[in-house]
Amino acid sequence: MKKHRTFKILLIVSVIAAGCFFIPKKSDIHNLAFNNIEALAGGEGGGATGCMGSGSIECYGHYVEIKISGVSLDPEEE
Amino acid sequence: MRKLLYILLIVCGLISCNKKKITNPRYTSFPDEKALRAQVISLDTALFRYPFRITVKDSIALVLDLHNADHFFHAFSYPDWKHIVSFGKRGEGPEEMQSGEKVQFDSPDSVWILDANKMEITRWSISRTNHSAKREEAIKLDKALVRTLDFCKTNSGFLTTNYLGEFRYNEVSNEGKLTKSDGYIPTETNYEEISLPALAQAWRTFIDYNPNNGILAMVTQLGEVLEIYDLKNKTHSVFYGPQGEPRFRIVEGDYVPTGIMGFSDIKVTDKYIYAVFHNRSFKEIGEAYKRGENPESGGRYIYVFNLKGEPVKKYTLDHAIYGIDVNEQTGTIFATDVNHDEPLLEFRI
Repeated sequence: MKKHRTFKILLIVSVIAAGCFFIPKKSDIHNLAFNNIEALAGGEGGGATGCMGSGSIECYGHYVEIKISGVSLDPEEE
Repeated sequence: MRKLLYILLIVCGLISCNKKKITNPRYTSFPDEKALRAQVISLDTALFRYPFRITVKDSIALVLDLHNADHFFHAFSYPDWKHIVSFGKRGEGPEEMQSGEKVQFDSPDSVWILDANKMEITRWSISRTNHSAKREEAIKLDKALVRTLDFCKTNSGFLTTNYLGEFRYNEVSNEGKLTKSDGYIPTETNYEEISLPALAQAWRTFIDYNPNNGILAMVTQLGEVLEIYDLKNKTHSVFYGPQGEPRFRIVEGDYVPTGIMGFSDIKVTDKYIYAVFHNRSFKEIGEAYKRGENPESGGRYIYVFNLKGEPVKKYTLDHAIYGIDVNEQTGTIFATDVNHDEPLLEFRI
């Protein structure tokens, strides 16, 4: 009976350990992201974000004052 | 009943190993504050569009212009500030530059510069007497780095920022090969679904390394975070300022800053870390554009920390500045100002 219990506990610990090991981590980088980065590095724009002014914020391989979403100049707006 | 208990144990175990909550130390204020007045440096030529970085060593000063139409770099004699030469021609040619992000001035024949768009670090020699700049060597950076926005030269190669977000910085050999990556993005936010490269871009840092004390320090462009990697003692510390970590939205996989413009440059000396802090909200910048105004760019603060990351001093400036160089022996901070036609400044500390 005691042996059986120990086995059960060991099984639970193994399941938890395996779970921790196999849970997909956020560091798994999608191929799509890689493609996007290469496009950005190549200066290709045209996404949902826009770039305004001369500054130091990186935007599609250029440096701008402010990065915006669509045509809105308010960063808080959706 | 016992079965239920086991299931509960498994679920709790899985949750606890998935959600690691990080809380970083905070600084709230500086024990000493001082206002500084700039001395405007008089130049014999008008060259600049966006002077982003400045570095002064012995008798030569170098300025990196982020948006110059012709050359990214300009050399001046010091202390008389006469133009020596402009170099790093903008263009698509094999020896031309597509962008200029950083200059590290070790000696007149070891001027290291980074072209992020070309993924290349080049070494130049500058001759004050011949008014010349020669491109001595070019190092192609490893494709595994994908993109490099800041670097520091070390004895064994280079330290670079990490663009992909899995780590915080990279070690790169003198031949440009990636040899090691280390560190992590010290976010306290538990992002459920975010691509690490987008997070890394929002957490973009400016870095400096001092080989004398082994301190690699970095500050975030958005928000207010200082990270210190002591590469000699293998320790790492993170400090959040009152503005906290970078705030942004993800729009179709790309980040849009929503919080504040934070730091823009950092220097590590033998005793201290100096960082330029902007503290300007993107909301205000956007509103200025809406009104048809050209908002001031740059920071009116220089924060000084000791090498442990403890706040030491806060300088409040009468000009907004971008890049700095610090000479503690002479008590001088050199700075660039992107808002005025006389863009180079000196502050006495």
